[in-house]
Amino acid sequence: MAETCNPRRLPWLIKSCIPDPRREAAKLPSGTRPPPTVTSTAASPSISSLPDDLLLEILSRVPQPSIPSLSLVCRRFALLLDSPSFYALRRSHGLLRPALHALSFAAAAIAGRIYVAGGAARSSAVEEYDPDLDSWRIISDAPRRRYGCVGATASGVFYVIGGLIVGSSPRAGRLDAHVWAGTMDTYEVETGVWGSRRAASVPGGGCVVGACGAGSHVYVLASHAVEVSFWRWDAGKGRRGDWLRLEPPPITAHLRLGGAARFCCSALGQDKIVALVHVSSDASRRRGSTDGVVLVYDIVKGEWNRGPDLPVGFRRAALACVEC
Amino acid sequence: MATIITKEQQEKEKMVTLVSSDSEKFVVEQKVAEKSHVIKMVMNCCGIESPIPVRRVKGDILKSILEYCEKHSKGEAQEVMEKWDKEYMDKAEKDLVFFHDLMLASHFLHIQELVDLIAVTFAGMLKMKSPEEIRQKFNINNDLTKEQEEHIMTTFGWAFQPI
Repeated sequence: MAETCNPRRLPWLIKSCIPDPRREAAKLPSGTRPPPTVTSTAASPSISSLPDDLLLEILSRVPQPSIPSLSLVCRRFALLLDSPSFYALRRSHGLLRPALHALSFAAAAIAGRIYVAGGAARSSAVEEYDPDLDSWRIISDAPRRRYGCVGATASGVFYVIGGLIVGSSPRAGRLDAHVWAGTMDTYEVETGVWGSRRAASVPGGGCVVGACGAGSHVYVLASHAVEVSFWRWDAGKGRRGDWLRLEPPPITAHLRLGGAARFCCSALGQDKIVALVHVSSDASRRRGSTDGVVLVYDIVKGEWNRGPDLPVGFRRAALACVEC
Repeated sequence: MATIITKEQQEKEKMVTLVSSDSEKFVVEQKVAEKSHVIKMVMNCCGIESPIPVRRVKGDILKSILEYCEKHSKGEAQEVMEKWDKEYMDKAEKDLVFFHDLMLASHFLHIQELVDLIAVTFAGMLKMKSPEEIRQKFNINNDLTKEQEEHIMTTFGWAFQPI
């Protein structure tokens, strides 16, 4: 860490040059509590006898998921974790992310690692999470900055699909923010190469609202105002790949004009796709929840079946499938 | 030429004596002691002829810190250093009292690299633990009122919900 201009350093140094036995106990410069001496810490080893600046050094390095439970430890922890210095230190350690990032990014798991792209206006970074090392790193820059995109994976390729244009792209005006909504970028994880410069787009000009990979194919749900279409992308055929129109999910009956639907889908094994559809209507909005419809697509038979509905109360549930 | 070599040798062999709070004496090379920003400043202003008292650091802590400084003044390959640092931390963190004093002392002596290393290790002890586990491990009293606890729960509510 670079040496900072801390005004405390100089008097502190002078103090240390002239040892004063009376100061021995005042080892901790910033103490709201009585400064413990070395012998008192021997009786009770406590992290709370550290001065604020050292405790902040420690707290600012704790991974994000553990922060909420730390603020419940004691009042001092809660105050420190809410202080501007905490955020400043965290930013300097590179542990702070833009809040926008947490909202609408594309994520997918490939070969035991998690890849995240999009969702941020200021950065086009693609990040990789390694669960073994518990660490994130930036691996590449996406060719397009997308907000609200969906992620999918098939045969070791990370697909970043749909979303709105964000950031300062020279061509992007507010009016044509939707022009990438039907397109996708492909990133081959092993070689670290992005697909051809022209992004493949879903036929029919729909906005991609959900996608997942199963086997070597990517399945995409696209919305066309009051209609939803379902497509399969086959990357294997030729350089450009091929789109195949499939049976759309039977949710048109639930969609009403003025209503909104939110999709989330995930593959279950090699032959099934589960789609979670949140449909909000006037009645459900009054209840403060949305109707969650679970649909299962059988890839072999090519047909949709309706599963049990989601219990009332979920609003923006995400979906992950585990076979057991 | 010959004079330069002897000068370098002299430079290399310049030793300095550090005295801990319990009057234990440590004789180390100047470049080792220089790892501490504070001791470096003292040596610059007062010279190295007389022993330098490090009144706020106990002998065992100072010994451990000098061990770190000595290793880090050699300029070895990064992988070697990382491995050594890890072993050094593994040994130090076993005794929390010692570890805690080590952090205070390295902060006091202004060895920022060591402070960073200890902070990372400390942070590792705090992660993935419930508030109660942390309070027990570090002997902390819960002085949050019910209202404050509720406020934190609502602020971070999403993180406590059972899956």
